[in-house]
Amino acid sequence: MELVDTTLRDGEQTAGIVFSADEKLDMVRALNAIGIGWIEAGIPAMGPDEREVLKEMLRVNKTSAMIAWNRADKGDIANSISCGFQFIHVSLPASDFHIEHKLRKSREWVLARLREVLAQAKGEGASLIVGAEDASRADPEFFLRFADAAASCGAIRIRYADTVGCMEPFTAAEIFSDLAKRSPLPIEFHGHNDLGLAVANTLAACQNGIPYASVTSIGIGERAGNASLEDFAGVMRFVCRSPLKLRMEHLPKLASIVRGAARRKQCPQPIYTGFHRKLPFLELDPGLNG
Amino acid sequence: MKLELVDRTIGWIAQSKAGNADWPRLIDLIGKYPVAMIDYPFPIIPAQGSHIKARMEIPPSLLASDPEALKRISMSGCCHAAISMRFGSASLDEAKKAALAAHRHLKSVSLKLPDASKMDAQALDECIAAAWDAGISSIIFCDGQSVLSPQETFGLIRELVQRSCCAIEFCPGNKYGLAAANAFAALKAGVRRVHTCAGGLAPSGAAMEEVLFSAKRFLGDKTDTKSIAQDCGMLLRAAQRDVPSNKAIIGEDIFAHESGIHVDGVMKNPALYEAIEPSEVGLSRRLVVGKHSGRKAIRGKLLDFGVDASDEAAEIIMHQVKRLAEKQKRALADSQLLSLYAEYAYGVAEKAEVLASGAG
Repeated sequence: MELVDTTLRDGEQTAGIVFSADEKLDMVRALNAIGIGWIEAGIPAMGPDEREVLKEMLRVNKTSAMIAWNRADKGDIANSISCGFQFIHVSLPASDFHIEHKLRKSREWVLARLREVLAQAKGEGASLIVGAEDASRADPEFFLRFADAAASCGAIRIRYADTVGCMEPFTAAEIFSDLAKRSPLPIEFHGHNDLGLAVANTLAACQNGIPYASVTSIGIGERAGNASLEDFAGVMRFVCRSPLKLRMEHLPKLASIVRGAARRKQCPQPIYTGFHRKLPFLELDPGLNG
Repeated sequence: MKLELVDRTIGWIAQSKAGNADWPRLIDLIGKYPVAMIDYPFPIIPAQGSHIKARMEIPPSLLASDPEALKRISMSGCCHAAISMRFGSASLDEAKKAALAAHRHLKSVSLKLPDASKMDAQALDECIAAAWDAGISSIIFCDGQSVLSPQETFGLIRELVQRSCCAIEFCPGNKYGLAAANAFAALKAGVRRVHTCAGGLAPSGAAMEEVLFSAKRFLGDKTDTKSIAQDCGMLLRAAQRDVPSNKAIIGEDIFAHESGIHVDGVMKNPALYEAIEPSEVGLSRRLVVGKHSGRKAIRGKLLDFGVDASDEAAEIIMHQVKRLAEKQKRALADSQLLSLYAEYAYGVAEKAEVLASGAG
């Protein structure tokens, strides 16, 4: 399984959190040191200042593949490409609920829009990653049509987003074992922690044929956050005994940068809050264990 | 399914704090939830004023060294005991003897297996047989080292529930953040009693609010959770802890929205970006203005204050909001947004005041 770290995108998107340029560069270096394969670096459409920082992040990055996050909007994508991003993530809703209540459009509109913006990005030579927003509340058959459309436009993978964090690990296992077999593209699972089950759901994805998972350091992210990089790495190593290819000794450094940048005294994940538990690799930084 | 919780919050607070909390109040708080039993670690005397059954964990060796201990425990108001058998440290015979002795003074005796998740099937079978012989009412299956995944928990517990003649309780470990998922797995596998603590505070047991919510959402439990955020907050404060702001189910920021896409969605229909209706857990929604705000969010927020800004105004203010949020490295206070609007609309340049209110 490969990790897509989205601390710099979904993490910073948490209400109230702003990372400075220096903090972002430090995070990129720390993620490189850990050996994270993919970094979702940010949203170039946020504005010219943001794009300057993103360009600097691209320069500082040594070893990870850097991804720019985009709405399904040609202007957004042009901005990402002008920054120098090779990997372009394009997000569109997949659930009828989002399509109807947020976009006020139809399934067919979504597929047409997806094809249109992907064709443009492909023409510019970018590698495409497609995000199916609210996939956990979508009709799985429509998710597969969405994936087919993305595949036919040359996308390299599709994100299955549990946008509101409403899954539980047993249903997730059934869904993923089915989708992993039928999807034309490799799937990335993106789990939110609203019910406290993000890490468990990510593990269920991993055990059922899903090859990519998105995570954030110390689990920051919208609302109750995302699956935590540290917890998931701990689960893979100590519970599943099949460690990810990460240099885990560098995890405390990243966690400490993120904790400072997000101004979080405590994090809900047990290794930090609490309150007592220590992961062997986090004992290196006593400050992290409260 | 009738869910029952074994509480580890009160015992943990009692252990970590010497004595003087408002125990009846804390127990009333826990009593709002389906707590069947409060567990206390030896030798913590159960909090007085409890109308919930108290159970004390005792090592089998205690009875050999202190034959009067059971009598004292029962006189302290604790009528239930869990004989804790760390595998390898005490023989099953010793535990059986302790259980039989405990029956003379106490109403019920459980057998606690702190490392059950590391025991093999044969060892577990021996424990089940011994439990039968000694009149044990429940076996407490603990994942002391946090080695189980939800799938493994489900498989192990389902088999155990079928094999065992006495009730099984499940106490998950929480080293890697899987305790709530494992407790959910155990409930799904047919266990009625799981060990929990408010906010995931204690070293063992799952976060009570997460287990209750999963049980409610996926297993049809009907517990009223409308004040669970406040209740867990008070319990954590009694343990001198704050609730982390993004703690699932009970953190004060879990219904705060800032990013343009999310705020736009929430204004159309909150369920687009919320899995839980805030009032269901005693919290409220908050729209935050900051670096990730979009035009619509700025307009919406200004409308809350009776200001109907044009699209053009919202666009200009949005850029100022982003800059100020970057500069102060956090979201804007309402007063800051209003100052920016005043500056735009009336040309009142009160920069100093804007920045000062941000520092406050």
